[in-house]
Amino acid sequence: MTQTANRRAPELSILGMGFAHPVGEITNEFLEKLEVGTTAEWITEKIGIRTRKTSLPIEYISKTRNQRPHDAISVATDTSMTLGLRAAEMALERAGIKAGEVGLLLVNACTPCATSPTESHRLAEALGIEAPAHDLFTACPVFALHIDYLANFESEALPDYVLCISTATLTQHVNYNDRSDGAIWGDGAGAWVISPRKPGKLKVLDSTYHSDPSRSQAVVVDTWGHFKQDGRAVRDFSVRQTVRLVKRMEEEFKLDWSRDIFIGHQANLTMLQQITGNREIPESNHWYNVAEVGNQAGAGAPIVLAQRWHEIKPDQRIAIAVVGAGLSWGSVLLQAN
Amino acid sequence: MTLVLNILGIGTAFGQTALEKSDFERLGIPNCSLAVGSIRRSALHRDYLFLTKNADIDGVIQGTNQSPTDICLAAAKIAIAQAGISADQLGLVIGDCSTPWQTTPSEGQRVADRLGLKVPSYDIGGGGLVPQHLASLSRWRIDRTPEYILLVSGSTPTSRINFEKGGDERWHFCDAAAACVVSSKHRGKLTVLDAESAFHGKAEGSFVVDQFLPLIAKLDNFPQQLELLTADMCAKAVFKHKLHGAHVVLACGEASSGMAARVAQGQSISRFGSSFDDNGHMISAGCFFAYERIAHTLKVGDRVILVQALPGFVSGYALCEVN
Repeated sequence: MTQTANRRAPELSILGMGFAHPVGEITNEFLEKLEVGTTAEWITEKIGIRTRKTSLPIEYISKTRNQRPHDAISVATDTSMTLGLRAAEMALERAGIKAGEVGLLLVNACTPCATSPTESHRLAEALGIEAPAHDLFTACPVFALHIDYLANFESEALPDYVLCISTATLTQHVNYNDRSDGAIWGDGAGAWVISPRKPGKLKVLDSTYHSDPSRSQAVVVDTWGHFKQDGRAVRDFSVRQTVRLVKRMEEEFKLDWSRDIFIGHQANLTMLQQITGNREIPESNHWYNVAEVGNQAGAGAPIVLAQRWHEIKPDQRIAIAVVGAGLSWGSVLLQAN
Repeated sequence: MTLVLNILGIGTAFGQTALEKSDFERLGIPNCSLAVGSIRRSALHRDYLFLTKNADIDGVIQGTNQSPTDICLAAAKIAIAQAGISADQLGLVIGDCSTPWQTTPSEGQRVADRLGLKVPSYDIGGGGLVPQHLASLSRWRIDRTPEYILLVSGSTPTSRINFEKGGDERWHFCDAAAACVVSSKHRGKLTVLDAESAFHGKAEGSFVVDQFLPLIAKLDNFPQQLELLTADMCAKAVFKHKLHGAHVVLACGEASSGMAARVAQGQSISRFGSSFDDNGHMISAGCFFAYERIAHTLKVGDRVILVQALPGFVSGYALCEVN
C-alpha cells in the first residue's frame, strides 16, 4: 500500500502572542508567615522564586490553606478560562486578526473548570470562534506540543490562523500546609496565533515533542484534590532533559548565545540557572519570569515570550526547551523576521 | 483528507457493575425507562451505590477500584490484540476522557504508562475518537505519522452522578471506553476514506461535566440535539461521497435504535447500528459500540459511516470501507 509522500509541510509562523495573570500575589514573606516550616530566605535561595501570581485571595489562603480545592473556585478572582480569554484577546490583537478569522482553536488546560464542555469549547464560545476547537493537552511542554502537532499536518489542511492557548490556575490546587508546593506554583495563561502561510514575527524553524509515560505519576493534579509531585526526580529529569534539548538545537542550528535567546520551562530559577550555566548562556540572553510569577505549567514559557514580544530583534533566534508532566518534553526554535 | 488510515483493531470495554431496571428501582428511581434486558454499566461498586447513592461525588473514589484509565486500558488491550501487534510497536498514544481522576497527566499518558510505553502521548479532548482523533490524523503527512497509533476514549459518567437527587440522567449514562489501533502503512479491517468534525459553538448548558459538581444533562432537549447533529453528519457523508445502495451502513454513537432508524431512513440506508438502547450514553465512545453491533453483517466493499456527536459542542463522522 503506498501513500503519497512529500506532501507540503506547513511553514509555521507565530503572528501574535498574549498573556494574562490574576491580580493576586503570593510573596515569600507571606509563605513564611504561614508557619509551615519555610522561610523567605530559603525559598529564594533554593528555587529563586520571589513572588507568584494567584487567583486566590490572600486572606482565603491564610485562613483555609486551601485544604478543599472544591471551595477555591467560589472565591477565586479568575478561572483558567477567564485567564485564557484575556491572553487570547491580546494574542489576536497583536496578530492583527479577529476571533472570527481563527480556523482552529487548540487549548491546554491543566486545571479546567469542567471537562465537558472542554475548555476549548468554552473558550471558543466566549471568543466567538465557530471553527473546530479541541483540547490538545500535555500540561507543561504544551508550547512544543501544539507547534509540533501542527507541523504534522499537510499545509493545505490547516486554516490560515490557528489560535493556541495554555492556561492554568494551579494555586487553586495547592495545599498551603505543604511548604514546598506553596512556593512553586502560580496562575497564568499564554496564547499564540500561528499561521502555516501568513507571514509573522517569528518563524518556526524546528519543533520536537516526546514523552515517557512510564513516569507519568511523577507529577499529578488530582481532579478533586491537590497537586503532588516527586520533586527530586522531576527536577533531575527536567535539568537533564532540558540540557539535551538545548544541546541538540545548538549542534544542529549552530546557536550563538551572544545573540540568540534561551527560554526554559519556568519551573524554578535555580534549575534554569543550572541549565544556562551548563550551556554557558549569558544572563542577558536568558529570558525568564518564574522569579516574579511562579511556575505556571504550560503557560510559563509562552508567557515569557509574550511579555518580551516587543524586545525581539530581527533575525534573532529563540530556543525554547520545555519539560514537565507526563513526563513529557519538547523544544521549539524560532527565528524573528 | 490525504492520509489514508487503516483501522487494524477495535476494542471496547465497560464499567464493572451491571445495573438493570430492578437496580434502579431499588435506588429509588421507579420511573426508569430502561427496557427489559437493557443494562447500564458503572465503574462504581454495587454496594457503594446502594449504600451512598454517590451523594457525595467528591468521595467517589472510595466507591470503586476501577478508574476511567482501567476501562480505557481494557479497551486498548483488545484493540492492540485485534491489530495483531504488541503494545511496544505503538509509536503514539492519543487519549480522551471527560471524567478523569487526574487533570494532569493526560489520559493518553496514563494509558501509555499502563502499557509500559515510552512514546509521545497526549490528549485530544472534546469529542472522542471519531470527531477529533480520526478527523485530525487523517490530515497528517505520512512522513510525520508513526506506523501504529493507539486512539482511546473513555469516561465514567456515573461517577459524576448523584443517584439520590438526580433526574433521568441517573439511568441514561454508561461507563465505557473504546479504542482503535490505526496505521497509515498497513491494511486493516477498515480503511478510513474520510473523516470530518464540526464545532457548534453553543453549549447551552445541555451537558456539563463540572470538575466538582454533579453531571448535568438536560434530557428534555439533549436527545433532540443529538439526533439533529447525527442526522446532519450522516447527510454530510452521504452527500459528499455520493453514497447510495445496500452497501452503505450506519453506526450511530450514543443514539437509540429509534433515532438511528430515523437518521438511516432519512438517507435511505437500510443497515444501521446504535449503542444507546442496550447500554446507555457513553459520552464519546458509542460509535464503536454501535459498529460492533453491526460488524457481523458487513461484507467486503461495504461503506460504514461512523457518526459521533456531543450536543452543543462537536460532531463528526468517519467514512470507512470494509476490507
